[in-house]
Amino acid sequence: MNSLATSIVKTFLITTCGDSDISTSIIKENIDINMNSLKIERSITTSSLFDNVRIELSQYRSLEEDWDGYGGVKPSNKVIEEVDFFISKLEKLFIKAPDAMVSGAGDISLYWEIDNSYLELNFKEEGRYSYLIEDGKAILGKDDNLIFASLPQEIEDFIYKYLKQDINDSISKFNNLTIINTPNELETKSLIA
Amino acid sequence: MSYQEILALEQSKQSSYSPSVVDDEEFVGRALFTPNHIKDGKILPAAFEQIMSPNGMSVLRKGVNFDVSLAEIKKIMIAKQKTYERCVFAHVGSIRSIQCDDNRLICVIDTSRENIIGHADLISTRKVISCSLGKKSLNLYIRRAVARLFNKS
Repeated sequence: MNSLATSIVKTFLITTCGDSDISTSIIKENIDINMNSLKIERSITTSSLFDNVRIELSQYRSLEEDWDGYGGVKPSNKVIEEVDFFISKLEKLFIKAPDAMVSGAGDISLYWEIDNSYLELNFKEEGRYSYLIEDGKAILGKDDNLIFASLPQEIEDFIYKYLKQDINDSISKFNNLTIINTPNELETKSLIA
Repeated sequence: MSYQEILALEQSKQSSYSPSVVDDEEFVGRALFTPNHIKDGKILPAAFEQIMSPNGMSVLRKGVNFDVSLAEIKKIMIAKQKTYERCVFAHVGSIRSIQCDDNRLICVIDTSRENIIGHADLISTRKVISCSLGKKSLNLYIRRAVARLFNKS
């Protein structure tokens, strides 16, 4: 995306402006700066959102037996570690961060609720998780998916449909570059949020 | 116990202390003693995991000696140094209507105790039915469906 956008802009400017070397270097610099800002902003934003679910997860380590008053057991350290690992996998997808919850049976879930759509990933036994998807009238679920395997297609579909929207917005805004060139002067504006 | 046998438990009193079977029009309440099951004012599905346990999940019948029953529960919990958060309610008929592939998933049974007359249990039929969902994802479905009802009320 970087090199393509740069190439397109450079080509346009070379054909429309006078001093190609100066104009293209200015534009490239702006594009590089803006792309880096977008990357940094995106990575910071994504990391800080996932920090909240990590903080919640870390609090589960200090739960004691009968923590809910109804005989609740604390999640095992191994399950907590595996959930943390899974969060790291999700983080790399640049998606909305999940919320977390813990049950009295010692299982931990990561979940997203977007309007009436719902995805829950539940971790109870080492090395595996089960999931539930509710999307309109469709109810899907599968037990015992391996933590280290690729995401099932149904989960990928849900992520693409509901959890990546804000990233697409950012890319869409970046793609809307407005270029204004006047004689002997070149100005580039980019609409990056 | 078979599916039909579990359903049949709702048709007769299950305790000598019970005043009556639990009617569809009643409301039952679940008392919460941990903030970990509440987020943004809503009760999380994980709060209802106990439905899947062999003895089911304890609730209190709102129309049967509720205040005294709740006070007794609180007394027990305070002795364990638990803090009462709140009590949430759901309509029994709606709970009984939760289904998967035309199978009822939850029964509401009166299990009165001598000192907690209004005691009842929600028990799941998941182990004795077949459903398109796996057993574990069915768990998740049940507790989310129940959470929605308790949050509605």
